[in-house]
Amino acid sequence: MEYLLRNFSTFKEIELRYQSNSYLNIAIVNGKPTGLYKWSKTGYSVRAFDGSSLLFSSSPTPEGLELKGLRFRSWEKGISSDKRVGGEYSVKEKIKLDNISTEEKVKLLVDLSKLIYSDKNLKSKVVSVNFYYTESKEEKEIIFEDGVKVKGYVPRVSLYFSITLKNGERSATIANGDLGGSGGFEIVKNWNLEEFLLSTLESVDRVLEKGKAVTPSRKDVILSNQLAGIIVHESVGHPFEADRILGREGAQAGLSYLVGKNFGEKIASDKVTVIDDPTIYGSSGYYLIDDEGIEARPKYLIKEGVINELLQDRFSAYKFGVNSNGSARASAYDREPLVRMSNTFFKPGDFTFEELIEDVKDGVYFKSYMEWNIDDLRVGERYVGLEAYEIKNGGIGEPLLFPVLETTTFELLSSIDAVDNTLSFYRGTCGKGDPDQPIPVWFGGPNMRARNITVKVRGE
Amino acid sequence: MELEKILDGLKGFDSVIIKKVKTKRLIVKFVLSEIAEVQRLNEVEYSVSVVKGKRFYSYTFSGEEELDKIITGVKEGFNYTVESDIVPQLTENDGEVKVKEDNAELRSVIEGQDVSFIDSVLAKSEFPSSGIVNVYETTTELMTNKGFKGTETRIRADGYARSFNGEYSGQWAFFSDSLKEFNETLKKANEFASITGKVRIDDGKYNVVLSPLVVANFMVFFADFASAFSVMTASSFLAKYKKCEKVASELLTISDVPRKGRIAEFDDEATYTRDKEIIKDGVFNSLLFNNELAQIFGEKSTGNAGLIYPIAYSFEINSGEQSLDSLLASSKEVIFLNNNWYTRFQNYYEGTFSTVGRDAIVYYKEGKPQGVAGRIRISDSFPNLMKNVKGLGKDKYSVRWWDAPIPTISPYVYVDGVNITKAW
Repeated sequence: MEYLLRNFSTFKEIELRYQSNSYLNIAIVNGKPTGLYKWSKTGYSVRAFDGSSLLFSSSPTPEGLELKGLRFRSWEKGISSDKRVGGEYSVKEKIKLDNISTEEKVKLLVDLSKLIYSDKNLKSKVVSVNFYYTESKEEKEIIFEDGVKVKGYVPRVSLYFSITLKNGERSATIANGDLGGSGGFEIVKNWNLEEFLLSTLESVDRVLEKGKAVTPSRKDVILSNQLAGIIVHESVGHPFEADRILGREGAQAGLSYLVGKNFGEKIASDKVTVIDDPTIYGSSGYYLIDDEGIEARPKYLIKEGVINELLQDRFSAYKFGVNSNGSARASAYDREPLVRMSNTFFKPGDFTFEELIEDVKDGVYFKSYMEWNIDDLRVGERYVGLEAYEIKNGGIGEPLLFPVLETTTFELLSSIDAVDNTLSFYRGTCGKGDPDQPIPVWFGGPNMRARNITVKVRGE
Repeated sequence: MELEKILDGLKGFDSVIIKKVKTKRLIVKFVLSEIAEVQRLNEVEYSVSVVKGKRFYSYTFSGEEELDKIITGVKEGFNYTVESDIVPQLTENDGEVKVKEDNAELRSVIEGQDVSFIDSVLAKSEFPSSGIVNVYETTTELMTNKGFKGTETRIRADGYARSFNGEYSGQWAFFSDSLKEFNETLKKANEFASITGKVRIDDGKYNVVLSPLVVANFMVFFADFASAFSVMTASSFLAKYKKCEKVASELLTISDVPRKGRIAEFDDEATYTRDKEIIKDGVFNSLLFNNELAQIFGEKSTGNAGLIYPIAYSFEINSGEQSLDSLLASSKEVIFLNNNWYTRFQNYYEGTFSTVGRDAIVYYKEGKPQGVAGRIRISDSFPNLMKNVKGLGKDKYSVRWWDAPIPTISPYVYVDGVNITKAW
């Protein structure tokens, strides 16, 4: 790498990266094994900045890197002068992924499928059960023009499943990719899959069997840990990416409601504190040094309702006149580092779940969701409940059939008046950039109570 | 030569498929009419798949690996497999096919990393504009142990521009043989961004005109719905329908066009591709099949492998006879959607979804623009939308962009009674 670095010595700022991402995927379709797939992506990239032009080249081989000094009207004007740190970070596999045979992994998923198909408690028909198990290993070696070196190694495991149930004219698909983290097969052993799957399945079955339509109106809403997770990622994490605020993602994933707002401005209730922390060991978004050589640390994006800090890389930091806070990550060797989330979550409070619901007279408890989306300013958002219940006079009542929460980020964050003392994380794959860069993250939070929010019925 | 050596080293398997895809790519990312970054990517990806009895193993990798190591790795990997319910089936095709497209204009842009044309077009943009221009040459080689040998080289450009006029914006995209299309794309994005004034609409049913960008975004999901694999796993609303059943308005014909779109000559199982209607005059005509799924469904491969999972290459929606102005005046109230993103499904089996409008979402009354309606949602289902197509534009546009990555040739499409919701 040192030798290769010399090829680009005419450029002022250079970042040379070797990256290898390898994956193993096992698919079980309708209870039957459907193949073993292995793939790997290994190669080199160089990103150079000479004070005005930002250039990037990648190739599977060092000889294929092609950087040309180009002149054009450049949007990038400078780069922050942060101190780089060298070093290594890694996550250990307590139980080596390679030490568990394919047969064992396949058997686990086939047995789970059988368990689901034979669940006598279900009133609905199981139409389809599919599991997709993935394990991956990510290795990075980065060297900069000043000789600073960074090495990282993170193995990860994840599971995605989709189960379709049909009950008369009603049907639902439980599509879930929440399970995953960094480490070895010990992660899988901790999932307690049988109990988790059967309880989820039987709850959704009950929604199909007994769920009634919600009466559309403004209501108090309890958002589960899972809802908190998707909301913090979509409504806070993305709009707090500094490059998005500057417009660098304007034609792709869009802009941010923070354009025109200032640090210290209140955008949420004082119960809302949001943290992005890459240093959580065992998480999907774990790293200790970012891909620009900046030390990682927890970032408090919102502190007690107030805009506190953005996610920055060295290019965005220059434009904001601040230091980078180590948020640059690249998903593969042939992708540029971008400002990315890592593990983003609402800070828990001191309520219990029972205390959250005890004074709700007429509300909805959104326990899990199916469809979600948000506009490109990250203001207007929508979540359609999968498992949801009415709350009557402080108690959880009957299941509701797919109620819809369609609101704005400002209304939602400002209406949160209590959060409980739990914290759960969910695995996700965050998308950004063109070419697209799916990147592993965690998101999560406590159960939260939002007052007087618009709940709609599903219209088709 | 290297593929032949790998093939030689993998004798003893029932089927061996070796694919190599080599791409040279130049990407120009621009932000607010200035170039933010120029990327020159060289990509080489190999896929080696082997089948023996009911077991198969697929290994895909980029980077340089010694041939002996690849062969040993695949043999070792195969040892870890278990019997599979479905395995890839090769077509008995021992033909040889060579396609070589050339394009001096695009080749010189890639090789010379020549961004001057893009820079000069951007300098003339009325409104600050952001987007991507992507120019690439891809060579695909496929060899099988049945004797098939295919090579095809394609050179293409695509890109998109989003123009910002204060709080208003417009977007357009292209997929073409020439960068000249970028000029037109930017012009159209500017035109849409110039539509100003605000109008507030309520939740309810509206007649809408979808631009080719919106149709192209929907086609990404339709590609999955049309894959026989999705029907088999109940991840498609088409699982509820039978072939020859009416599923859409008789105006609607949706085709997969690997030939017309000049995308692929052969698929991953050495079947020659062909253009085919998935929906023909509103009738469900065909799913997308590879050999193994075709066997399960009692059909023939449509040339859309994808091992195990059939894929779409490129879509075409048939045009109609109306101008855009006439579509916008088709009823008293019409909402025009220039663009959308973040399409997500509640349930693939039902096809229920919502998607968020962006850019020029314009409310028309009696054919005249009343203002921009903001970031409204289509909250409906694919079956409803397809049944309610009531008009098609006469002009077709070839587009591809970040949230619509499958090249799509589409007219403007008029749909009746679409459920619209909004958050603000």
